[in-house]
Amino acid sequence: MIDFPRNRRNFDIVETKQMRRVAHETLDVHGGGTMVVWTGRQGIGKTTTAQWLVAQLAERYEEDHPDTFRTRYLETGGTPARSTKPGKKALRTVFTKAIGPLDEGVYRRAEAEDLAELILAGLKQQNVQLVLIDEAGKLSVDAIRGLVLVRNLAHTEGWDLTLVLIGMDNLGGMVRSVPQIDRRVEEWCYFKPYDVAETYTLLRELHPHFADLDLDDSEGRAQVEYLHEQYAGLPAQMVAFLRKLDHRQERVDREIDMKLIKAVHLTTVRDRRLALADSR
Amino acid sequence: MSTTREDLKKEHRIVLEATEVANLADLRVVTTREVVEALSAKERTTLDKAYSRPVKTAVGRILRQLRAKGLVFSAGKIGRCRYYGSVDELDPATAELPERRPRRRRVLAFVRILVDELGRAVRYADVVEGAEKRDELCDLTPKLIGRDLQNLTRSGELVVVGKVRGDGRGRNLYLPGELDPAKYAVDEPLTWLEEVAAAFETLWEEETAAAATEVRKPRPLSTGLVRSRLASEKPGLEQLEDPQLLVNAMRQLSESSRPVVQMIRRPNEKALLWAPVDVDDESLDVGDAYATDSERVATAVARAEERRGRPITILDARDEIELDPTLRPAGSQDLHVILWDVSRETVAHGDERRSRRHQRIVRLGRVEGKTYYSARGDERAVAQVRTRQLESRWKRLDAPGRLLGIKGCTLPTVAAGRVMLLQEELEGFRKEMDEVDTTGDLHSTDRDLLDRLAEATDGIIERLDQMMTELGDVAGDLPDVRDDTPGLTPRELQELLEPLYPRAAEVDDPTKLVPLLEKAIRRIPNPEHESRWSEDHDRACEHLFDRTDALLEAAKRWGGHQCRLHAMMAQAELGCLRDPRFILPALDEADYQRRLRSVACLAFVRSEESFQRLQLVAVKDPDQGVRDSATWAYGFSKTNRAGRLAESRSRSDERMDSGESIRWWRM
Repeated sequence: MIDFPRNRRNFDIVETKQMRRVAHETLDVHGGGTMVVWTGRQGIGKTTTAQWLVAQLAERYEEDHPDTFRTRYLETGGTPARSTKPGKKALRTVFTKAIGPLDEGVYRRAEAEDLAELILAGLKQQNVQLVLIDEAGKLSVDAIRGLVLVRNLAHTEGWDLTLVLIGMDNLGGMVRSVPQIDRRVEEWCYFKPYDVAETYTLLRELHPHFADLDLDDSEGRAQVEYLHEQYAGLPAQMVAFLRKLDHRQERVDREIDMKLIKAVHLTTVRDRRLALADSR
Repeated sequence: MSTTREDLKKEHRIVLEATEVANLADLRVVTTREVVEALSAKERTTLDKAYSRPVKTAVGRILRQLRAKGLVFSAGKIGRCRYYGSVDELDPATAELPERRPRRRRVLAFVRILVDELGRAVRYADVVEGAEKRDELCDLTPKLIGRDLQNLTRSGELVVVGKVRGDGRGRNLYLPGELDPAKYAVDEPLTWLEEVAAAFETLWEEETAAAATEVRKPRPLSTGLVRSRLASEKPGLEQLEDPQLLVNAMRQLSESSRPVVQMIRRPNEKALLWAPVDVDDESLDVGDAYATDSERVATAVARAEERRGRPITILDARDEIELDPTLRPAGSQDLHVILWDVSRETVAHGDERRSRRHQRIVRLGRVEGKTYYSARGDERAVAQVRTRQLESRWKRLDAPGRLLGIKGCTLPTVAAGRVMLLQEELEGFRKEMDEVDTTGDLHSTDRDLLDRLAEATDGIIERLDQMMTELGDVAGDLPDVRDDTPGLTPRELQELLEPLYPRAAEVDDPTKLVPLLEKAIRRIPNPEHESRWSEDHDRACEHLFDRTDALLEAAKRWGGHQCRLHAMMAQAELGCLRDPRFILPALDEADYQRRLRSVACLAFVRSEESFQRLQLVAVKDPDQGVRDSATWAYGFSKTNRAGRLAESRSRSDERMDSGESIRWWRM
């Protein structure tokens, strides 16, 4: 019988050393028109870090304090193949997701520079000084050039705005390939995969089974090492695995042990292999 | 004989554990291959090193040995694959083999189910579409289905019982061999070509019957007639959206290996006509005689109305005239002039006007710029036009669009106002529908349309009621919404836009602005309208321009950054609401973004109270962005008082940016 998953565990964001490092590196360069690039493998925690940073800064924001500011996090939809005016489209995405609805007539009549000015005016109106743009690796070079216009304007007007481009490893290559963009990047933050000790720390925070585990015990260590090996130290995949583990444990009603962990992992691996074989 | 796990050698323990993992993963007995998949890379390497044979062979042997030792059991085989389970994980007494069937059997079984559901023989397209909707058949690709249908036909398990005019998605009709084709015959068109052929056949039968009654030869049919028939019988048919598709379909029906129709071309006539392929030219009629143009046009109207079953427009009359050239007016007057004349209720008689003795055609009203005429002029005809007018009004009301807009509104009190406004309008619309509905003699198409409109209206009214309930306390404190939208006459609009819009300055007659701007700026009924020929221009125009909408449009097109930002925010929040009493409470919201949006709205929806509140917000709001916006909004709406406010703010608030704001005040 199919039913909704009951008693779902809430996997809150776990603050890690890497998240704090990246946040500090980003805020340390905040100033008049800054660009920062965050890169790393999929599932390494870039989006989680961005959302955590937004929440942290929102908590500390004070209306009448001149040093505090608001932040915005948004995801771009990428640039479709053969898209016309990708720069303008990227600006439209930033406007609608960071400021508000953009009238179609206003969009059509405005040039890219005008749109960039409108965005800056909108950000200033709401005292937004940090904008995190996720999935920036899906944007084309021209689209990123469009975003750079906003940064340039902020720089010219002396408005403290930091744009953070977040993406996977291809983003770095793309930015580097265009000197006009590369020169404007003031900080690069690379998200490294977790090692075994960091994986253990993360698992302990996320799930009570691992919180009770002792790494000195061979079975406990084997479980952590197995998961670290299978999920290459990627938090997103580990969180997804833990959800499946919980559901499977409920269905078979047994304690979590190495066998159950392997069985849950096997169900995903096998279906993925079949799907890949089918697609060839 | 049973052995314990501890007695096993390392490689056997590995295989036993992998079996248990696989059993746990799939919650059933598993094959040797599935056990191999459950091995980790390290375990696979261990086995590889320990045995010279391939890992799969080694695992198979080990499983047999474990079975002999009583640690593993087998539930049986499917084909050549034996299924194993660990006694510690599964119960040997109850463990079952998984279900598997060959694909062809599954396709045949599914065809049987589909035939039963549809009550007729099925096409390839039916099987493919049906399979897509069922999870258990999701592995059946269209190619495989096609192949299996052919194979099943060859083996006689399926029989081809007929063919359809193809659309590229299968011509054959399949039935399981054991079923009686007569009981599962297809009695409705399955493809677009068949729809067109069926509509043509029905029309031709009617034309032949009419010709027999009128003692004349039947007349060939135009493409327009076939289109009208399809549109009335199958409204919403996708292919009718592109007129060329019907023409192409008629051509295909005339050019196929089994033609149904023939094309009739007449000299100097563009329109194509069609007749059944087996009717020769001598059996067709294209001639008759009329005394006056009025008679001709009246006959065209009557015939067109008869064919379409509804009042007709000038285009329908033209189609009818194309069909029968003897109906073409002999004089030089345009058709629309003749129609207008023939449909007048009074005629000039010296200096007087008298009622017409015999009115051949009645003018029933306009729908979306088209005038409808009727030869019958009865209650049904009137109801038909009123129904179309209601349909047009429903489109203009855009209730679904407005409902969506309300969902996107972030200010609760404004949302409540918009809900109340739409509720009122819909209740009025419902009353009008009920009046038409009480007409006894409604055509079935109109009845259907009214039913659909009623369902849509009631659905939205219900949704609006839910929204009001969800808005709860917010809605409770609010007054009744006012619908007295301030409007601008064309002349007032011209005065507003002249400094901004070059074309507004160029036109000498303000009414010429109407076609230029009526799509961009909402229009509302003029409460002071008297007559189109009134000497007072302000009372002559039937509609005014919504003032708020005009300001928003001007701001978006010609305003500076602040202007455009505020206009876009205000437009998204306000929708059609123009009552400031629903906006003012939002100035007290805790969320700065809501206060900002309410300030933007008040720049375009003005009242004395809003001016006073904006002044306060400009000085006292805790957020600087909101203060700046309020200053701008006040200036935009009350330019003559803005200078003093800007000065007083500049003294107390060093961070205020007044450059942009002052520039807009001077606009």
